[in-house]
Amino acid sequence: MSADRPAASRRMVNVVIDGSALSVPEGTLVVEAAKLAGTSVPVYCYHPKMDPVGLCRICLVEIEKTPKLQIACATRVTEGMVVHTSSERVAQARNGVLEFLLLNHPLDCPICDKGGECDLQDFTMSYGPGLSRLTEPKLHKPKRVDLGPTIVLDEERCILCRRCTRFDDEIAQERNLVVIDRGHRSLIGTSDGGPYRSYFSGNTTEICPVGALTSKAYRFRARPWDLTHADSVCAQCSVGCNFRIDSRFGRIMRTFTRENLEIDDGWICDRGRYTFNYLYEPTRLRRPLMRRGDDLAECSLDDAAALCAEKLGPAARAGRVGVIGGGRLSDEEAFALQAFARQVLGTNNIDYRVHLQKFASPARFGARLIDIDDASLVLMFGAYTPEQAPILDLRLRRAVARHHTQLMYIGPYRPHLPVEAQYVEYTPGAIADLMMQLADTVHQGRTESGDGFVADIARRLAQAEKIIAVHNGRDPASVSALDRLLETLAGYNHRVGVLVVGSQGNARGAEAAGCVPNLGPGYAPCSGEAGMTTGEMLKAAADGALDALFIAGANPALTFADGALARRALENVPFLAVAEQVLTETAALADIVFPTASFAEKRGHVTNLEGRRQAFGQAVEPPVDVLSDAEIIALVARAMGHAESVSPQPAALLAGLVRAESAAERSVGDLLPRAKVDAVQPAAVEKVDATHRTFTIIPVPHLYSGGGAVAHDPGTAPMRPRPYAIVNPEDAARVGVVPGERLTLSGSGGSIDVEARVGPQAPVGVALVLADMPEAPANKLLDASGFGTATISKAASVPEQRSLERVSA
Amino acid sequence: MEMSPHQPFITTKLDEFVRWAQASAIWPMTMGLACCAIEMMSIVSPRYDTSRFGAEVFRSSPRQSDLMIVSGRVARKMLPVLRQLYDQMPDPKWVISMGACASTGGIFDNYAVTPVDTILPVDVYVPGCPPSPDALIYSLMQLRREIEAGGKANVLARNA
Amino acid sequence: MLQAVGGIIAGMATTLKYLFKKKSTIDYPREPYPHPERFRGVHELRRYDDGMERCIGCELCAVACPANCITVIGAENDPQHPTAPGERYGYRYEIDMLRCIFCGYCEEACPTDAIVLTPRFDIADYTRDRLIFGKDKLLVDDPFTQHLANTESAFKTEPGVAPPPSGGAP
Repeated sequence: MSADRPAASRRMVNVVIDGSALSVPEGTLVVEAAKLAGTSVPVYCYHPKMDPVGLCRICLVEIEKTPKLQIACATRVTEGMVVHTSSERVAQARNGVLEFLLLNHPLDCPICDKGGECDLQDFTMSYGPGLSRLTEPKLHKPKRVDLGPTIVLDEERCILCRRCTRFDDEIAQERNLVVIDRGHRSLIGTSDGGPYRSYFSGNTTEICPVGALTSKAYRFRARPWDLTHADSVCAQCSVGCNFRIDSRFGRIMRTFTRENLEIDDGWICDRGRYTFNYLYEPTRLRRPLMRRGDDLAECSLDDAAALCAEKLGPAARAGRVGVIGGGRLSDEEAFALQAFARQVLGTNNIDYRVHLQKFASPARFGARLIDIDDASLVLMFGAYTPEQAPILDLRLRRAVARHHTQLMYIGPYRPHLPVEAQYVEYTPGAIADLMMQLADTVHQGRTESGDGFVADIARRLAQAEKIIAVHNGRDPASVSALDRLLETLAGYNHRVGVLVVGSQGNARGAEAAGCVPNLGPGYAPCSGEAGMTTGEMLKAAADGALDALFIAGANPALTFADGALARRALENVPFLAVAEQVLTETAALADIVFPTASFAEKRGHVTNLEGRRQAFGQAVEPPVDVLSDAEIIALVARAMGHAESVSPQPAALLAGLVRAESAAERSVGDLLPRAKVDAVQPAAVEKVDATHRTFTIIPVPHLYSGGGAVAHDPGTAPMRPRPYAIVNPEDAARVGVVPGERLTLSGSGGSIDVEARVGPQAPVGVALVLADMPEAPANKLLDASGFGTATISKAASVPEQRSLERVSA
Repeated sequence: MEMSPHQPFITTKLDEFVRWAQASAIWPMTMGLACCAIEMMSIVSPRYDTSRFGAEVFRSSPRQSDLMIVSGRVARKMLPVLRQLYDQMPDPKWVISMGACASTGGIFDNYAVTPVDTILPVDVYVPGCPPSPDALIYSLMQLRREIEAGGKANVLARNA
Repeated sequence: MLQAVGGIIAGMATTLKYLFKKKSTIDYPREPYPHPERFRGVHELRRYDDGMERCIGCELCAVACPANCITVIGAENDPQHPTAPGERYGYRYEIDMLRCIFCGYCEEACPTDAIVLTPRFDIADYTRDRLIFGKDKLLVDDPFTQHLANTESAFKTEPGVAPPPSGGAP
């Protein structure tokens, strides 16, 4: 078990397992020692990542000088221990245990999803009895229990190993899945009797040793031996979890974890696991679209490329062209996109940043994900990892619960965190000041004597041995202030590190590939003057100063902070070409839409938030007219007469990227150059008074929000939230907001309808609005700073509007 | 073919007559390639007796045959031979693909065993491994139907 | 000389003898061939007496098939209108008759006796795709023949096989 896996420095002891002598660290479990000795002991309840419980008894082994058989999963090795894992007594005991486990097992293996990869099947074949002696009818329990939006439970098949409940308790720290009732009547259920909702629920189907927990997405779709496997990397968030895509007849059936201890520790989140069925929905783009009047009509790829070339060429010659995107593409495609902008269009107007994120890499003090495991203090601001990087959060939860890591969250509101954390409520613009104060306090050694919460935090920082900062890189001032703080701390021999949680899966890869206006591949300064950032491009487009925009794998209409500006820009620009998988809000405004291949339909590399470049393979073939982004870029480049500038081949592109990176060689510890950012004034937060209905709007992330793939996926649809706004109970009473009613929020860029929620996490005068929802785009209310103000009123369609108005008046 | 009501003649269209003639004397070629050939040989035996349909004369030369019964797995090296023999057969000529291997490769999932319809226009496919002689006779009946209908397209249209 | 004449007479006698015997030729298109009881011909998919399909889409036939000619795609039953008893049914069931070698392993592998090989053999056809049989051709309401598929009858025809002890194998 990883929690107290013996450190290398521990004393080694000598043991003999099945006749082979070996030396293992003291305290190793017998089952792990047996693995080292090359023999395997069957297990059900034991899981290497969880504490041993010794429930199933299948792992019984014979230990000399011990009168009875011992369970290998909970016995630790001692000096001189002699273990037999395949003696006659052991075989007899396993046979007996299996007979008991099978007493009430329904044996519906032919229809069971696990059949073929089931531990119960395998061990029964290897060690079990051939016949049952039970003549009485078997115990019947509920089948097809709807456990939650992702899981169907078959209670009959369950052998009560409790791996799932322990996962929910120890790994996810959510404690929702429990065993209810006792003895042979035990059932798996939720503690509150409600549905099992978790961002990690899919993992329980995988660790279930039998077919009790089955995933709704995969239920009865295929048998394990049908599936073709392809190793891939999840591109849904910036953590870059490794997983395996299992397909049948060229269609993705399920995804499966692929353990990488340094990144995902063997788990993936449900968004990564279940977001693939959108590929088979009618909303998936399969043919190029061309604007004919108000509509988009299907056309051929050649026509689309020809029109693109015809419009982009003059715009490029006039220098009135821009390219947006790269954060959702592979490294190779991001490189191709910047090469397209710089060499084919001859402009530095390229930017991957369409969210609030400004930087994807820490300039220095880059940390690894495993640094969280033994961090003494994790300082989080801007980012909200439970929603934005769930597998990173899993590591954090474990560190807090098991290794006494302190978690400190600095932000404008109090989000719900599943583990103990210290909140520091701070307005976003002031975080930079706080960092500066902290740096001064630490530097001047006032940590012991000072008072106030700044001194308190400084004291904690001074006491912490290893400090990891997690942020989302949205505020340049606070990022540089953080760098100063960490520099100070590093000067006092603290180990420090920074992780930047991006909003786009491959933000770091796009930044490294040169999809920023002032930096080329490998963070080398680009030749010529720095181009325009996304904000500047959109402003120019809105003002009529740009003739053409090329957007690949980005949806600024929904995700850009100043939504009104983005919409105006995309509507006003004379020519807009978009490469997308589904018809997003941005693609709907385009003149040409290229359908693009998904992560499963191409191969390449992605770079995760710690800067690790990982290869992903192609699992299935894309539909006929669907090309990868690199192929589309190459097609347009060829149509413009620049066939040699951009290669459609990932291998050639990667070679180009690596060549550029090694040319821009920098030694370890050098400061990375910074991408150019917009000058944004901090939001002016209006003062609230007792009758004021104007609120500060803070967008909040959600794992299942977004307008692209996840909005069109039937697998994640049950988990997808409806747009909501959370206000403080005090404000709710003041303006008469009732939870559950419809509210209209009107701001500078329009108004949206959301569901009202009341909760203490929202500070007074603030409404927390779910971000990135296509049905209610919160960015209509925001300005370029990522915050905004809006007036709350009842939605017009609510019938009891009048009475509520009277109450509030 | 029709009987004229007043005259003692049987009148028919010439092409129908030709088709009838062709269908009534299909001379197969000895084209045994593997185990299916054993079953193919037995169709001329008294029990099965294809002389009832005028199809008992197995010729050793392609120049005298109408029908090639590809019986057995077709190895890659056999393909050019098969094609040459087929080209040497005089028109009109037909092909029956007998058994799983000749039709699709059957249990063989390798480079060497090739479905025969990759190089020859197969008229009738006979499933089986090997097909029993009666299944082969049934395919002969199917072939006769095709000839009488005047080609594959016609018989498929009639059966559709 | 006499020997030769004797040989001719003996030969003609044999011919004469067979001339008046019943002909061994079976007039096939008009009369069916007598097949052995366990002849393995075209498959059919059975139903239960209540009309439910026996096939549960478990794909064990597809695994057993040495020629890989069976394609099964399972799906979940609608609890209100189940196609097969239990939770899963064969949504799609296809046999490529031209790939099939009629070995009968599918029949043996089938846990519900859904797939059965009948004595029918006359399916030779003009194109390959017409010989890929889907559920429309395989699924029958009236079984072509009741023979080995039925577990009870299998035990009856094979007296050497004893039924398993009560309780069933684990």
